[in-house]
Amino acid sequence: MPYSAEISREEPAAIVLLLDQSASMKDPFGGAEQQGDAAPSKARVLADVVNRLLQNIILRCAKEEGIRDYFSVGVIGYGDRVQALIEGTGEGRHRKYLVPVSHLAERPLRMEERLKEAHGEQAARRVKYPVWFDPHAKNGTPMCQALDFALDLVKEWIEAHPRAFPPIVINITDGEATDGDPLRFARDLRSYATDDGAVLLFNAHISGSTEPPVELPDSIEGLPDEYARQLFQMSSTLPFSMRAAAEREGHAVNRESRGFVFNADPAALIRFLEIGTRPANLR
Amino acid sequence: MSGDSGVRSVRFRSDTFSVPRRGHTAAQNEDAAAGPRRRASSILAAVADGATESAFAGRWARILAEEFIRNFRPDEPPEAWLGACRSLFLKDAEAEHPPDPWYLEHKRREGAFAALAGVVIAPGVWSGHAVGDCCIIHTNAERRILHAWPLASPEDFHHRPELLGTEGPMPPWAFIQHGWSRGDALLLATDAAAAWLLACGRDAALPEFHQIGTSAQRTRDNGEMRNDDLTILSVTDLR
Repeated sequence: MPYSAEISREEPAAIVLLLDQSASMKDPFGGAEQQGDAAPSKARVLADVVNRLLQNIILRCAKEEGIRDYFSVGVIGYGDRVQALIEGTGEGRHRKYLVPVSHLAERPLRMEERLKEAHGEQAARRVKYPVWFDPHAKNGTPMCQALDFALDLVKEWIEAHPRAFPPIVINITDGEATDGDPLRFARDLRSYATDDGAVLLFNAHISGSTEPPVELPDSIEGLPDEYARQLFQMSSTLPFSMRAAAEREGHAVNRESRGFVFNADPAALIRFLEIGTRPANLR
Repeated sequence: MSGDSGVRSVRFRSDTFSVPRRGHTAAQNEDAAAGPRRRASSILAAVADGATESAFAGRWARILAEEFIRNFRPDEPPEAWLGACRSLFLKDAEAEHPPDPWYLEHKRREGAFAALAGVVIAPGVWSGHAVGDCCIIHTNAERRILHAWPLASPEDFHHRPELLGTEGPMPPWAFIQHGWSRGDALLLATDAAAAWLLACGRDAALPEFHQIGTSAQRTRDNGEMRNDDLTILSVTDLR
């Protein structure tokens, strides 16, 4: 069965996040708890969500003796330029920009202390949270260049790990590409494969709208506009393990359901990333 | 490991097999097996399977299995017993404590989780006590499966069972009771081994118990089974 390769330290999985850092990301995130002047920007919320995601991926791999490198992670921002937001120390692009989780765990940009609210029998307390990158929003949306950057990383990764679970690329954007037709780049990216299956490309659209999100659709029918239909076509269908994760999050999915959410609010974005970064349960 | 033991009218033979997943060391085995052990007129045995995504899972699994055979009382609610296990875990955790990196602080706060299956065997009757997907398989003298519990077929296994945690509310606790006869056996197994046993035993007798662990390991290492820690503890009635 495809997408069933064991994820291990010998055959880790690669996760690449492409983050829109265009000027419109300064605008408020629709559906956030705070509204009006207190509403956080999309860039702020996205940075918080992705920093927390990196933390959770690391915690999944953390054991008493240290971090097991089940994953390597890349985070690429695209706005005034396309750049890696986290870097490792390995030779070659894929080793430099796809960072083993143990390396990430030891080298956050900084630690922030926040108050964690009381939960059950646990009193409120100050907890340290790692931060790897800060919000940024400037200029246009060079999504095609970002997809091309991801393609280079993924190609090298596959050459080094031809039998592993295929790389997962998740693109998070609030608008249309300003540097060409991303569908062609998406198809190129998804044409690469390991022995276990083709590269997975998922897309999350975040917006200032308070319209309810469209989550994991299985058909182009009923999508609100041409842009949504384009992102749908760019997105891979969910493999079995992620469909199971989606069902646990309360979604009704089937074999045609795509890794795509349109008009996501922060909660929908978190759910989507939780589903899309669980290629297999490590238990 | 095997041994004969006479316990009033309960005579039994036992075999225990436990290996870590392929590529891991013995110290990284997050399964645990304990017993059989005599207490009054009963025999107790247990297996536990620590959750991979939790830290200290192997230690928690060992505490659960060992405390089951030492102190579990089937006629008392399990909450007090679980509380005692948690106290032991916390005492262990506090004993050795250089400053933790941030991720280990988080993992300590999350706690550890494990599945557990234990049996209490008295003359002519056994009871099963379980949380999660460790299994108890009851066979007859011909090694044909009579009962499998709490999961009955390989298709019943999935990746998110209920688990016993080092904190948090008590999950649903399952209980069962059956009679047993001369030559019957109980096999306690962690999930990957249990699913394999249920598949093997669907239409045929199970392999000989003293070889069953190595058969399971060979199947796993040939790629025909998920790579996981494997534990099988068998108790055979010799009356």
